[in-house]
Amino acid sequence: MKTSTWGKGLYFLAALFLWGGFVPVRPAVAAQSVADFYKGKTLTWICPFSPGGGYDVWARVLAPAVQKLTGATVVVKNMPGGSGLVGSNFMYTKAKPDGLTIAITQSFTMVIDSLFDNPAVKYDFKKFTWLGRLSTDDYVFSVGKNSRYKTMKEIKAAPRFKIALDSRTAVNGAGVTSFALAANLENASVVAGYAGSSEVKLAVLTGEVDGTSTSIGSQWQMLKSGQLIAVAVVGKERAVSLPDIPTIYELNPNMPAGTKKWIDQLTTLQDTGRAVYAPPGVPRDKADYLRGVIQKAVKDPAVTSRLEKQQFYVVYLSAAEYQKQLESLGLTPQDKAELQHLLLKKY
Amino acid sequence: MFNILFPLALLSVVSVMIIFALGYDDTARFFPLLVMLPVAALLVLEIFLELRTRVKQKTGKPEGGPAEKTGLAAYLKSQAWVVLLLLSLYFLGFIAGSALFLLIYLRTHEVKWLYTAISVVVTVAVIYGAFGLLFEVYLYEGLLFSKFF
Amino acid sequence: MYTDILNGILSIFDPMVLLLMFGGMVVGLVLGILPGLSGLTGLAILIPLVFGMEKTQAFALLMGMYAASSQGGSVTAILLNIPGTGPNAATLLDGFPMTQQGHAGRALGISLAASAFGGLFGGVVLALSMPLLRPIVMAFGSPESFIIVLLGLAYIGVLATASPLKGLISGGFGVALSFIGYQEVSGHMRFTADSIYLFDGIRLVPMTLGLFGIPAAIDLIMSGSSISQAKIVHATASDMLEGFKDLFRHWRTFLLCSSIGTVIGIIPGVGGDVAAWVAYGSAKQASKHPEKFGTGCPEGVLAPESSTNAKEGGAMIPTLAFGIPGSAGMAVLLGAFLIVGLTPGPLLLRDHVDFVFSLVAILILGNVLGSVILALAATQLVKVVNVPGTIMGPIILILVAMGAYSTAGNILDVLSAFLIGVLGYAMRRAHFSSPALFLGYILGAMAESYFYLSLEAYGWMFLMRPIVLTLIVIGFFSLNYKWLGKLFKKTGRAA
Repeated sequence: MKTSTWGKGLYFLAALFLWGGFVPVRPAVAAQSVADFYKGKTLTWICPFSPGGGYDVWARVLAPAVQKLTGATVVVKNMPGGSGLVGSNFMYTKAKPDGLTIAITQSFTMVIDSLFDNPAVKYDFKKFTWLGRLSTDDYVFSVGKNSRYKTMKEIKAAPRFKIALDSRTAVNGAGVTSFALAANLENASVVAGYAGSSEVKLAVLTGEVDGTSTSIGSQWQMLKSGQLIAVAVVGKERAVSLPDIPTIYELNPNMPAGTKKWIDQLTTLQDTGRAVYAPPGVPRDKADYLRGVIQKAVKDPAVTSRLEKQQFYVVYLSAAEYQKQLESLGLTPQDKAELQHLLLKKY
Repeated sequence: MFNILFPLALLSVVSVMIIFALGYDDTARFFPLLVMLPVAALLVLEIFLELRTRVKQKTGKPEGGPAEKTGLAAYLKSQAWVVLLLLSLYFLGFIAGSALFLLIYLRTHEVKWLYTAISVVVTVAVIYGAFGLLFEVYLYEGLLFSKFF
Repeated sequence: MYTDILNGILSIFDPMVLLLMFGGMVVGLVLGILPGLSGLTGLAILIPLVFGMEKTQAFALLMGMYAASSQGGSVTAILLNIPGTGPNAATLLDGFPMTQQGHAGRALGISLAASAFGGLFGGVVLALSMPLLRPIVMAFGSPESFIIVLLGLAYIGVLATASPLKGLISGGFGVALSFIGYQEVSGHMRFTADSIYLFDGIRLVPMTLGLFGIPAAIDLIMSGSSISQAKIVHATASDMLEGFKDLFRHWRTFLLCSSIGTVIGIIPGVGGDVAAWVAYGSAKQASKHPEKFGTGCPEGVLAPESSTNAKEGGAMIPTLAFGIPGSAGMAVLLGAFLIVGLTPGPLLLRDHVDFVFSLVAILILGNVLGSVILALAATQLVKVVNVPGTIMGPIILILVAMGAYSTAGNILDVLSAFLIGVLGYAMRRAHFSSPALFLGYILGAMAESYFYLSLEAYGWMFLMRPIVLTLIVIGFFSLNYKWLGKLFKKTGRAA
């Protein structure tokens, strides 16, 4: 009798203790297990473009840093196709949300394809698990060293100002459209169809076309050697590497509100830059862990020095901020039609 | 017979493409039509010439060598193997799928166990070692394994 | 300046540099041999290693790898009818038949000799044209590229072995296929039926593997006999030496094709795949016995091999002069320039003459050494040709599947390779020309883009540009000189 009440009491106390003991212990065990979860596993990093290209370089430079931080083996897998569509669709429909697959993307393309109702799009970009923005891509509009029109005055006075593009897509059109709109160029006409950015640059050098807009990184060597002359930076702020070059906003301080609206829209889209993300539905703890890893990785001096050698600069934005930015992106049907016209048909 | 069916097949593909092309706007359809219309015409010519040669030959000569080795039956058999390969790769991934396919194929053709084993081992080693390790090509694991692991 | 040049060339004979070059070459050879993988994959993987390396060492590694990879590709093309990389597809037209007839060793010898000397040719042209680099590249714009591609297309007629009608149809169909996908000039999607997979068109690697590799494998499966239909084949030193001598026997062909390769290499964008086919077609045109091409004729191997290797020398010209890559490989190499802290362009030639010449030396040495290493390995590699088809057939199918998958990690590539394989086999049975189709496929959409670009940038006057006119005239005569010659003779006699 004694034992049973004592026993029950003891039993009850023991249960209470153990049960109570578990509660505070559990979160600590969980956090430790996320880091442990990654050790020894394989983390696949999808790059939706071909090996050797800009996005591939970013992934491959960051991969060792991520590997060191997580203890997981990071494998970069190229999945080119459809200007990034194949990769984005894969991440939305087929990739498992177990935290072991992440991807790098050119958010601009991802967003535009979605906003313009490309029938091949299978994703909702707002639902991805965003892990952080790596950089914004500064675009610069340049003319050739031997070009007939080198100053803005000459450009505006030209009978026809030819601008080169590789393929006639909305994303490629953005740099051109922003510049032409800002400078109020009625004489601009697009020459599209070049095989790639190298051919575009060559066309500017040979004088076949008068100018082009590509990322600063891809033009860097030529800007430095004087073969290309920068005219204006396509963005909201001046570029770190080109402090003397005005922005397109500065080209036209009295920009009409209508024009400014479009340029703002385009530069905001452009600023979505390069980002890392995971499939929708990744558990909160793993997502936060990965976000922390990315944030640390982009600060690694080994990473930044390698990137800077190829003229890539880290302009980090946290996942939370980035998500907010993306949520604000949307177009009314009227705006959509107008924007499509501006990007694809006007020039 | 095949010599007529094949150009006919090509012709149908080209015709479909022409029909699509007619619906595009000028820049998009000019060159395709410029090329495809003559190709279609040439295909018609080719089919016509083939038919004419056949009509001239009063006695139909049988095709090539023993049907067993070069005829349609042999080709279809080889395609069956191709399908088997694709299925094994799809469900079991590259390593297990190749190994299984090779095993089945070689044994069905009565290759000695020793040679079969060597072939399988070497092939898998090349796939794993060269493609997988050295060049970090992501080796598809196959439907089966991804579902369970 | 001459001391600089000499220093540059001698600097590559440093033990570390040579070691890295050798390492790169081994990697490149393996890459080349495995279907679907090419020098580009290798570059993407090796570039991270290059950070912190001294510049000559870095480039010895990368260029050694790249030079060797195309030679490795030739080996599979000759022995297995599988093009290791795009340009190798032309090699197998005569290379594989030679293997089937038991002359694999000789074919390999030709390939290796052509690689060594072709690379030498390209390198020498590169070195000699240093002062002229900029004007040369500046002279070629979209109109010139258009004419060159058009000329390439004209060679479709030359390539066809059976009836010209079938050749034209094959080529035309190939051109039609090239239009599938996104039209760069306008942004329109064509013939894709809303499938993303076809967005970029039919992919190159599945096309090459399916059109050439799979039919060969199917043949092996169906017949069961080994690739070499003659007796057991060895690649002895004397066989390969025979191939070596072939280069000198046909020195005119060699010079012609190397020149073609170099010129096409100089023009950025036109692409290395074209060079091999134009060279093949030209060699066939110029040959005294064109009907032998395609049946296992040594010249048929010599032509594409010399041009492919000379092409890289040409491709370095715009890369160094402007930082505009002359080929896909050069595009990735540009990244390497940045990593070691160099800026290609006029400044490079002015301030780093020694390094530039060490690059030329690496290019040449890489090709030559690659050939030597491969020659040594060839004796063993050739044994593959004696293995019964019952074993090789399925293995080749697996390798093809692997290769198709490796390019983009897309299972659909494997499927499309096999579907194209059906087309390839059907074409062979019906005596249509796969090479013609392939050429049409590569060049078709390219010609269209260049045309619209030329029109948009210059208007119809683009046809009046001097180089364009010259090329038109050259093209017209080279394609027709046989019967034009007869015409002139006749008029001569009549008068």
